[in-house]
Amino acid sequence: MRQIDAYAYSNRISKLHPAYKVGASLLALVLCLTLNRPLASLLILALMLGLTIFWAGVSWRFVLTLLLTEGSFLLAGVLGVAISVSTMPDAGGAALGPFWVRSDAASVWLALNLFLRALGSVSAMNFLALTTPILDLIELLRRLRVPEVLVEVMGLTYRFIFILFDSLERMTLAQEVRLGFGNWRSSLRSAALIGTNLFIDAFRRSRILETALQSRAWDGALRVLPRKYNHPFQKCN
Amino acid sequence: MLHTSGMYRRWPVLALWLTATAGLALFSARTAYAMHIMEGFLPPAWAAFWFAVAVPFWVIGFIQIRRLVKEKPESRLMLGLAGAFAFVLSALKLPSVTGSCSHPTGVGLGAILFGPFVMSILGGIVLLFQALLLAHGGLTTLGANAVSMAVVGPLAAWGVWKGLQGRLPEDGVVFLAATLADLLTYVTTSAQLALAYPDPVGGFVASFAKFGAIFAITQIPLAISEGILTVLIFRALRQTAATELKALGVQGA
Amino acid sequence: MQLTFIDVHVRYPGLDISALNGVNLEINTGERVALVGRNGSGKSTLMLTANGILRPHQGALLLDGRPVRYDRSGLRELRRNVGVVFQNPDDQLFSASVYQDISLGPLNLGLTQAEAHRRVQEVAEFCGLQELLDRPTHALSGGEKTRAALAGVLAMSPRFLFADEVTNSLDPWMRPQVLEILDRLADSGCAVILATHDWALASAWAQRVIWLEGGSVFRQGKPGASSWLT
Repeated sequence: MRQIDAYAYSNRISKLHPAYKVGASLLALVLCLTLNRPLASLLILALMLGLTIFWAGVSWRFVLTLLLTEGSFLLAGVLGVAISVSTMPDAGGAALGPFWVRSDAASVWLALNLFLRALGSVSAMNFLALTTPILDLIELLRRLRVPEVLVEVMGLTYRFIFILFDSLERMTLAQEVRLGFGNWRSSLRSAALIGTNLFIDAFRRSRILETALQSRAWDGALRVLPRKYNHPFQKCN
Repeated sequence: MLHTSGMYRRWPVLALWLTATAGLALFSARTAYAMHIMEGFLPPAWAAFWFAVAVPFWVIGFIQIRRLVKEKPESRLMLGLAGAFAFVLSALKLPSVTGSCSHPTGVGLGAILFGPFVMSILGGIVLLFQALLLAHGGLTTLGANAVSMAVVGPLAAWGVWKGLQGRLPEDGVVFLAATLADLLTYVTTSAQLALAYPDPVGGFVASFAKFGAIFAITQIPLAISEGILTVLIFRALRQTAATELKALGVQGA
Repeated sequence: MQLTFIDVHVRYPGLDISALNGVNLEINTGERVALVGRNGSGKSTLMLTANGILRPHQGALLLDGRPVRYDRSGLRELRRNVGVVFQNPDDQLFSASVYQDISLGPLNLGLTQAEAHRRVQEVAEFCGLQELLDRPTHALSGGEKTRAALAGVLAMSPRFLFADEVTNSLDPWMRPQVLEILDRLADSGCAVILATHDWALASAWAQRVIWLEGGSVFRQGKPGASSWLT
């Protein structure tokens, strides 16, 4: 998580106006889904990987590892499309316990197409995730007139995710050094303890933060300055 | 045990079962995330349909949040922390009954603490961040994932919590709420996949059973674990954070 | 300008015992003051009172000789002049971006966007944060976070700055950097009040040390002066 986030704000095109990057990935997504052809999916996959690795300069090792993980998730999903299962004896199927499993070329083809389509879409989403800081996406939503309250809650959520993650890591370590995850029972007890403390920690922080905001003359709305971006064909400042 | 009627049909079945085993092995490592429908997995029409289903809940949730923030400006901090809490909770190590390790969804706990409609918005935000920060789920499938995880699951939990409160021991109610939320979430996901990809022979029902079976192996033990976890957390919160629970308006706190 | 505490008593809501028990204190702009005392002696309460978060139930807080009004505009006036930096910067940095976090205070004061932008650039330079403005807050080191939190308060150009143990969590390399910023701040005419457990730091850095004990001023004076011991 931290790695994806770190790439998002340190890659070569992180300061580019987010609208371009969001536009590019949404276009790729829509094309991938509507064309729905293996060749188109493969082309989009190659293009998005290329953009991520060569334009944004994200490590190819990281990009491919991420894609591989996602691919393995997808595999389990397309499996359901490739095979048919029924309790009726089936001439063309294989018996597996009480079930009859069958598959045919059409289903496998459909599954393969689906797999590639999803992989192409995933690569478009990865491009967005690895090149665009979440802050910029939130800012873009603000400029698109998404209600201010939602934008604020999103911004705060993003900020607190990392604070609470630090707490979680500390607490997990504290439990691990005390063998809190030794067996099933103790693991569950440790997980509950951490979950509880995390909640209390979150609540306490919201109180302190409120005080800190008040001390800066806060009166309800979280007004901040808009971020500044580069545009293509324009000299970076 | 393998009966086939012809050689040409044997290899795809075998190959698929091999990949199935490998896939499930990879899969059970991070089951909670496997409930997310991945980017690109749904055809455009279904993706749009599930967004349309989610929108009314988001609207109600938004109206509730806006009212809350108007009355108490500081509640936006609590909402942000609640969203972050839900996100981080899904990264907590949770032992599954089968011995593998997984992650809770936090759907049941969130619904009890914050109500189902507010949870639909927070859940939507969390899903967006999971797609972007963890590469789980996706943008076009956000609507579908929101319906299963941020609408159906929380509504089930909240319904059980409201309906059975006082009639059963509290631990039992919390357990049922969390377990049922978890199970219904995966049932919804299976239904969404089955609707988009009905079985060529058995149609929706067969397809639903198929996708359900893929999830069931890992999800039922996980749902029970999450139920127990939620009971333990809720019990501890009652003891140590009664004032905070009251501040959130949790009934009976 | 002077910030004056006259027999200030402060009680936390719901608690019977007072956290401040008759504090009498004068702080002038440009002063370097160290606030010492054990945990629970009232250092943090004093800071929150100076900023108007807590309201004395007895006694008065004067800003430039006039009693502080606790209505909207009165509090805004007080907070424009009196800033507080909290002990843990993570409790203070609410925004995920350094630039946006610093801009909150100036915008709350009703400044225009252009003016707020200028202020952000100014304090970023003052605190050595120019390169970090676009960074997410969570990607900063401990010392950078402290400086960012400080910058967020300085952007409101306070005349009195209360800093709650900000040097405690810093490593020996970061500490001089933050202290140097506080020094420059005092030289520019702002009063800097640093709460600390570190006696060596207090006597080396401050012009005046205020020792709180049980919610009131136990001793105060120039560090090292003979009057200190009596």
